[in-house]
Amino acid sequence: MEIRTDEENNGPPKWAIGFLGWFCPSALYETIEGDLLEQFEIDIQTVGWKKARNKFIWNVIRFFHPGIITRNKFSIPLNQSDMIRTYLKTGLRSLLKRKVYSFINIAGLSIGIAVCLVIWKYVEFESSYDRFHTNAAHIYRVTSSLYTDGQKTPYLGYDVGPALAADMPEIKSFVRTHGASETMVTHALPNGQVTRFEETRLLIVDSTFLNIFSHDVVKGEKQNALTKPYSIVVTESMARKYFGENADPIGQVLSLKGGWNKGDYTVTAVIKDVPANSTIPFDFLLSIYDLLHGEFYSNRNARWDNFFTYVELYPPSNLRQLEKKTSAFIKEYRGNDKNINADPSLKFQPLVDMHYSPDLNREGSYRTTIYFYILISVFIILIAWINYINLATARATERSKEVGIKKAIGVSGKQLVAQFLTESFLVNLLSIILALGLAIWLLPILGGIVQKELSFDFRQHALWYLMAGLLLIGSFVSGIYPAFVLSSFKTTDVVKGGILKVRSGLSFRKALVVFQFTASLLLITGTFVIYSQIRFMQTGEMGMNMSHMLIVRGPRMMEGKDIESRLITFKNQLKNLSFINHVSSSHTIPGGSVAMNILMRKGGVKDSDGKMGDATWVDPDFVETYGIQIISGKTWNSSTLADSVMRTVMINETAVSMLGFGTPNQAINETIIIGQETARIGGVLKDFHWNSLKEKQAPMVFYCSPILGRLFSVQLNGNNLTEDVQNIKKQFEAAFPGDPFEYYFQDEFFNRQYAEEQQFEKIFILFSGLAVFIACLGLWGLTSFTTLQRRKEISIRKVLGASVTNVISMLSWQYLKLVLVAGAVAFPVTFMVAPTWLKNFAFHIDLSPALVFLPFFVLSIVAFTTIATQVFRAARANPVDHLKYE
Amino acid sequence: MGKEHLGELEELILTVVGILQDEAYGNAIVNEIKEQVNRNVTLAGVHVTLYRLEDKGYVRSRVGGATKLRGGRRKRIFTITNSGLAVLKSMKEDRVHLWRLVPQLK
Repeated sequence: MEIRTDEENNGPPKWAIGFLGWFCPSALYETIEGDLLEQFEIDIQTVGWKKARNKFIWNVIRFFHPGIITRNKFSIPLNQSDMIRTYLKTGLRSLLKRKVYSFINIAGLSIGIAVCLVIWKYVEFESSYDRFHTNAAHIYRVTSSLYTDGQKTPYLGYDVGPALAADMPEIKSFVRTHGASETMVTHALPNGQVTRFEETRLLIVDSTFLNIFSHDVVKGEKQNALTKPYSIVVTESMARKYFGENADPIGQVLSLKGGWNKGDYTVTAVIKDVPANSTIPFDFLLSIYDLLHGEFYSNRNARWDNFFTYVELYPPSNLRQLEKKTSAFIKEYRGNDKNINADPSLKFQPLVDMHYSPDLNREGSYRTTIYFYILISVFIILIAWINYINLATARATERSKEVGIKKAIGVSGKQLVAQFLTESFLVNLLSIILALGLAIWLLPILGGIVQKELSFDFRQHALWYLMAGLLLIGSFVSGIYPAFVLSSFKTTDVVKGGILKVRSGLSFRKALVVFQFTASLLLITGTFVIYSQIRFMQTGEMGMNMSHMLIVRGPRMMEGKDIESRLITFKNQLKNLSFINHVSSSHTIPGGSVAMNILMRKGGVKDSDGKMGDATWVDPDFVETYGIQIISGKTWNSSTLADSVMRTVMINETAVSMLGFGTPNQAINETIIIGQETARIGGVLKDFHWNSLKEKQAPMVFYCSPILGRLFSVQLNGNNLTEDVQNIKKQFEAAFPGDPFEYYFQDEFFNRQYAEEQQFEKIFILFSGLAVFIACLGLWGLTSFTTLQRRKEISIRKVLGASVTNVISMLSWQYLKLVLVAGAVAFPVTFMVAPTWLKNFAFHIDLSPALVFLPFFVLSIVAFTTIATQVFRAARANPVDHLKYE
Repeated sequence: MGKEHLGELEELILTVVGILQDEAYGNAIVNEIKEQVNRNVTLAGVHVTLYRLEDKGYVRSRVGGATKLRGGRRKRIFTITNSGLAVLKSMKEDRVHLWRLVPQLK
């Protein structure tokens, strides 16, 4: 015979029965248990032991029902409405009676809840990215790490998508996208009127785009919108902008100029504007046909790795298996390419994750930021709840008589708990109503900081669940401990009179205050760390000079044979102006992208030992204009520029060391192979920060061309900026009539790279300010209460000879002690958390003692100021006033 | 006080209590409903409804004798009260009255 364990023999799980016994009123317990057991025994016969057991558990859980749990007396109607009315009435009275405490509680709670709502909305918005696509779960972006340097990139060649779709049966369809550069878009009306704008959000896409991504087509045809060459799809707002309110855009013609996509395009469809929470924003979709058949792309030998490729997979696809298969796929297509590493693979990045790391770098940092925000909101709401707990328990002695008398006339402990919970529910309810108003006011402020349009959608269920949750959890968390403390007084003790000692309550309260201080301290420290890091990045040694540097955008109409000479004339004219020190033209400027990211190696070194580096074009004056130090060699001159055999380039120190040139002096006149081209090294530049201090130094190569039309860097020496800019504008308009004059300042442009950190800083300041404010409110309430309770003691101390200073230090010390403890708790946390954030920056500050102690002093001072008025008043009071009363 | 109303499940269970007479307890009611109208109701649902009916005064309950099958636990036997019968009757009459008003297709 099979031997079964005791539990198996006896059937139902003991814990389930225990659970039933816990919640089920004893009057009902026996018969319900009987019914359950009977059912269980029937189930064993019909469906077997295992299923019967599960059914039993499930049945027990079904009994966890208010109709059962609250049925404490059998056969007597359970009508508590009178009691609840009484609780509400006494609760309201007690709120009104102690207005200051009610104000502190409600103010703190409503700020706390408002912060929660606002941060929730922001986090919800951030995580809603791209989920509006019906197939979002099955869409992936194909990324690769093919090259020997192991760098991941989302850019792929135009041939990868079709080949992949042909070879992998899991792929339902694919779409390639390519962002077009700035383009002049013109629409000519029949009456000769011309609408012309410069557009930047053009996307060149495969015809499958509208099938894979969910964009509602308002007018025109969805299926074949992008199949024909020279088709263009516009968004509703663009249709309005170019064709007016009522015109039918379908079949109209838009002329595009600039970039790879010149030509006349016919509008085939109008779609809804792309939602704000899309990682793929655009105003125009152009058919990819034209690009792939244009002059650049028809050359099969040129590799243009600058397409995003998205695939839609058939639903149950094993991603890992698919990724494994891509290794063979790449070897098949690119096997003879020496730059490919030993184990190349394509990865599939879920569309919904793209938002968190659009460029695949700094993957975690975005999410970390969001976790920080959630943490802040949790801190703030906890601080607010703690205020309630502390003030309610501090008030306990004041209410002890009420409790004692209620008990004496027969009110049960449970009823008292219910009464005090009702009070906390009332406070939370009032707070949540105020919080909603506050949140509606606060949300646009947050939206302004993060540069996103945020607003509450009251049709959203989640918002109401959140508020209901905060209300219920808040009432419970903040109410339950005070309720038990208050209802635990013994009638005899109370009626006898005398002072009630709630010793354990006191230490618990202290622990809570320590928590409040710790959370505030962490937030203040966070603010300091973020502030210092940003300051460090903005004022640190850059290795170049960006101040007084005006950037003038080159002319858009770069056509005509004489454009080069016109550009040179313009540059020389600027140079001659008295208020200008230097002028240089370049393809890109520090703080912006580089012309290309390309594999480079020392001449004579294997392909596979190459490194990815940056390359860009500058004119001969660039190095001097930016004040970059030359370590060895020299900058370009007319003879090196004229060398038609081999280009001369300048490289940076990092390139010297990473590519194995030895010392900067040894590098001079060596050859360097950039992509497929061999060049001679003419000089070595001291490392300077082309990119923000978030990025590591990368090997850089500077090509030289006598003039580059894209950007002019103008170093001004005067202080009369507006006038200088006007003068430059005159020169520009004379040199390039009809072209718009655009300018900006280099340092502002450069610092735009820190926008994300600055947002983080502002949010931290805003919310840590609020947190400290709420904590101080609570502290103020607590001090005012305890000093009130101790006034007799203080008076006696003074009569016996204590000085005002003695009393002040005694009263202050008890709170400053808590600040000290909070400091001791917060320091290790700071040392654990701050470095992980700072690690996101290639160049960062170290945690200095000042950075850790300064916030501590700030908090001590804030805490002391908060309690000061109360403490001074208590200490200076005339002892007679408090002693004569008896 | 206005006329008392019964929910659909309440009416069903009250009727079954009437049918089962002295054998009306939790499991029996569940089984009877399954057998007669082929509907699955949960044990917990039946209990909650019975207690609600009891509060309204339509059923009465007593604790009955134990049987071996239920691990020696006693049963709570429900019996329908006069007012329970009356409310069932009046609901039935209301329904018949309304049904008559529906134009009948022959």
